[in-house]
Amino acid sequence: MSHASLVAAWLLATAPAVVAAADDYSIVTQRVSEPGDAGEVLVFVGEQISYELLDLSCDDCWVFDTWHTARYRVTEAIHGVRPGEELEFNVAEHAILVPFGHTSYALAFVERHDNHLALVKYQQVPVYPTQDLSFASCGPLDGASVDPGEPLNPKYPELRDIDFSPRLVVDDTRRMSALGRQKAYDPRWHEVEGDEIVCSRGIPLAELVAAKVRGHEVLEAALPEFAGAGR
Amino acid sequence: MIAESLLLLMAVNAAPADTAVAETDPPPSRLLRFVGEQVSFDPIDCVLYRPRIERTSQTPEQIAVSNQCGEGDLNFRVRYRVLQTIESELPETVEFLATGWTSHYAESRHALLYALDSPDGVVLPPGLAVSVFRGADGDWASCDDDIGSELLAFEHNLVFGRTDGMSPHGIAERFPASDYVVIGNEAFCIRGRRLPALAKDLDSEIGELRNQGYQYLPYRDQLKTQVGARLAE
Repeated sequence: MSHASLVAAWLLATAPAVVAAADDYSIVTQRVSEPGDAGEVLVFVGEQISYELLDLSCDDCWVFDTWHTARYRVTEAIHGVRPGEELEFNVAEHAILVPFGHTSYALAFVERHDNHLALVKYQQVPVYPTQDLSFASCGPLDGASVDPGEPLNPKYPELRDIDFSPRLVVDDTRRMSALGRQKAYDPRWHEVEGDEIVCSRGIPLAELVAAKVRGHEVLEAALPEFAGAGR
Repeated sequence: MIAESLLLLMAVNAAPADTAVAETDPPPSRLLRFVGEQVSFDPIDCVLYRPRIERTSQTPEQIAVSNQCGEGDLNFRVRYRVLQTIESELPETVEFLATGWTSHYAESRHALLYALDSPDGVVLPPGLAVSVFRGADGDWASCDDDIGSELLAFEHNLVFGRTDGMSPHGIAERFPASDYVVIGNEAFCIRGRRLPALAKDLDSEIGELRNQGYQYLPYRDQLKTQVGARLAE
């Protein structure tokens, strides 16, 4: 059995992955569940314990996405998990502006197939602790930088004033030109305090969950009770 | 100095060249190489600026489309205060037209810039600028780990990023220990390239731009002499 076949066989046995055969090589990518086929979906805010690169390199196949093995402790249990529980799951991500794993806390939607856990592809939001002992996002959900002159995506909840605790400083302006400050600072969710750009507006956790579920076919099918009303 | 500033301003305002020039006799042009502090970076109506490419079989409609101004053309009027020159004397401020396409340098207060004073006016060819920061020893340097980089300290404990809310994994990826020191939630750059290494890099870029068909740029052998003479001081 070739190295590529071994990798493919391992993935099929252990992860919700798809191996697509091309003429002379294979493509390895995480399976995207169909609505109603996502297995059990776990929803939680987790604190990162470890985040290790999963090396799937092979000679005759192309691995789509960057794969990691993530270990998180459940800080806020929302669905299907217990507070304090530790979960290990695979993450396959690609072209995300703020990659999963870069923040200490994240809202995550994880699907369970048999005994294997994997992040529902791209369904995560970096979140930060708040004064009221919960969590919130900083800024809008899209992640991508949006021209301040352009309206935010109307399908997402309105930004609210958030007291992040500890204070969430996102950058220091001393090395920047006026143009640089303009790009780093978005007055819709940042404030400038001295030389620091501080996050002051975002989306509270309860609204985040509904906003992520709403409009995502797989999550809506698995978590109809969270879809809620539109904005 | 004032007269030179006026000349440069006139060059910026000049219309794009419309004179036919023989390949063997290029019109006079020179690179204005300097470290500058950004004074302004203002959007303007776009001015075409692109490599000269022979059109062979394009229809008038295709030519009309390709002549529409795009993000790679000149859509900003930029002014910098000159802090250190690399070649010859320059006025106190230099104004030029630039594209917003390769403008990462413009987000920093200071940059090493290679503006081209040519029959097209004073322009910044794409890619001929890089962010620099003043080192604790007074030298200017970038913050990166490219070829020619070395361990450096920047003045005033300049903060290059924040780690608030980040996981250890995120910090290690965004601020690798080989290039940054993280103290509290502040990341300080400790690796970069001084002007000679940066100049060598931009000189190579000039060769690439020439190969792509950008006009009026000096040849690399001319540059080597100029850069070597100035930066060796």
